[in-house]
Amino acid sequence: MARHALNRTLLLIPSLFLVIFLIFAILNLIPGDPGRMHLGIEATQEAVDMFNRQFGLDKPFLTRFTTYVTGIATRFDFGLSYRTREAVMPAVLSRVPPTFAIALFGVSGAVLFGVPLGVLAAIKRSTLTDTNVTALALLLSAIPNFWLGLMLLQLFSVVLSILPTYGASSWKSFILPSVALALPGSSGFIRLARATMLDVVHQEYITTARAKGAPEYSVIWRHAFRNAALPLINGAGLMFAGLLGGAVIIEAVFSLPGLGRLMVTAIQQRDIPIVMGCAIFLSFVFMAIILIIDLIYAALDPRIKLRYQKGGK
Amino acid sequence: MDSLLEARNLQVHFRGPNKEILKAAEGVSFEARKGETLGIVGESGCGKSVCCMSILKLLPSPPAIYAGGEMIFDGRFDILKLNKKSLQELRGGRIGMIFQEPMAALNPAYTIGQQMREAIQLHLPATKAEAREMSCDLLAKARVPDVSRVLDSYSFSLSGGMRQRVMIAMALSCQPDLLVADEPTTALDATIQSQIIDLISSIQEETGMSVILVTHDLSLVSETADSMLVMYAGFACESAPANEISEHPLHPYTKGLVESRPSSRVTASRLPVIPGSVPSLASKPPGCPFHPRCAYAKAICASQFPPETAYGNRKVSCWLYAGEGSS
Repeated sequence: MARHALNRTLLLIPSLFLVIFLIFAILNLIPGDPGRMHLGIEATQEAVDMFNRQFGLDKPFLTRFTTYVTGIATRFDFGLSYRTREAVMPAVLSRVPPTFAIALFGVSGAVLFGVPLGVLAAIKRSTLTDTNVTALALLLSAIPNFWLGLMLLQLFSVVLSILPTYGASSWKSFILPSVALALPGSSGFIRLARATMLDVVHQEYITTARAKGAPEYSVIWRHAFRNAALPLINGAGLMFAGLLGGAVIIEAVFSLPGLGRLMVTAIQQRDIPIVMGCAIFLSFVFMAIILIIDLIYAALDPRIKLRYQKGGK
Repeated sequence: MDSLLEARNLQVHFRGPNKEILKAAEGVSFEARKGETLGIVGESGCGKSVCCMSILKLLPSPPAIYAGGEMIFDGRFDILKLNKKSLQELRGGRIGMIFQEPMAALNPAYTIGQQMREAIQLHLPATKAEAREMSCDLLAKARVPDVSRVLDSYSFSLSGGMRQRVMIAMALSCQPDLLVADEPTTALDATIQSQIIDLISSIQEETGMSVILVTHDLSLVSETADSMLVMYAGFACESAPANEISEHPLHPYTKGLVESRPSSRVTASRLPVIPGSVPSLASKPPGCPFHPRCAYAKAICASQFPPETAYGNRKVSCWLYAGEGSS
């Protein structure tokens, strides 16, 4: 099992190399002079040439790629921002904490709110409770998170003035953005938890558990939920990874200095090194999360664990 | 012999998708006497499993409705009226149950040992080590080889017969007075079938527990059961001592079942069959539900449900015998 984890981790390296190559190729093979694109139509040709020379853009593609990869591998150097002349990776990483925080709280909130409701709906299938929970899920999925964010701002920051409207200065700043992400996100977990639980509660081993005399909470959580949890873990991991790069609108609504906004601004300003840094970072996080989900699967589902052990890995 | 479990006029209904009432058990009565085996026989869809699950009130409700009747245990209380807590003490404590699909009946997320420990600790004050020791003994009693390896494995790495042995061991963990076996051998191949039935019989001899054996295999029951109940479309056609049923079946449906049984004595080229199939609950014919398939059907069979006629220790519900009985 440990060896399997190690193997899977080592496999990240070639994948990451491939990702870096693709991102580098796509962004560097865009037609047009990068110096001209960055400095604009009114810049002199001398300034453009100097810019290109300064960032090594006058060299052939493969030379540039080799320099880029060597820089990353030896010095963790992802180049300099065209605009601020700052090192890319420290700039990217400094934007991670706010985004990470709202993504983490958003996913946790969505899971903690959505999963119990979904399980409840599954247990009370075809009753009024089920209908209401399903309707709530539909309603939540129809609410755009930016609209919810604005409404929350209006209520808690403007009318009640108990929470800040912008920035990331204290933990209070993260409450509203997290809620704005969690509530619409919980709709997926309600429906997923309901569906997987419905699959499981009609299995015969649930009847066995009842026939053994197990109390109802143990039947539901110990016997049924344990078998229904895997798709939910997958859903939570993917939502988290998605929010790291995709919470741009919420970051904009709450003026959070997050990763999404850094990337969007860099794209607008043609700051290619920053865009590459963000893209590579997000790809890495995505791969890491999928790896973690895989390992959790193996730890929770004895069938998968057994397969790994049999493979000798 | 004293009665251990007595179902009286059991009525179990289901609410159908269009809110209609589907009668899965209509006034079924049976009795499991102490130390004896009761066989419940019938084709698929006859309400055998419904009766079986009702013994421990295991049918999810809704959609199931326990519409009437009693399930008297030990002559003292009605299982269908027990509160949750007493019901949980009874389940697995005094009544053990095994199921048709041993693959599906064991939880894939836990080892056999964990599941057996749960069954033990729910009813007995045992530590982890004590529970494991008890599980070892139980599995050995169920003739499971290599006990400690089995305890640490998961259900999917065991064979079907082995899983059913594990289920039996688990059902016996608290030395129940009654073992309810719902088609325990249907999913197993023929050689394993007889091993499992032998195992149940030998444990029964040893412990003196009662067994309710549900099956659609008449020959299986007639060998092991003391008394028998034949069910068709949710009602009890006939109940009698097991040997009498196979020697002198009274009800036309029982006759059909007995005749359609392959036998080594008769060398007929084709086995007789009962024409047609069991009606679904939603399209049950009026009168006697068996009349469309019955060779002896009379006019009255299509309109009125047959009364129960008693012949000594036998009971039969059929118009052929109405008004003839003795008691």
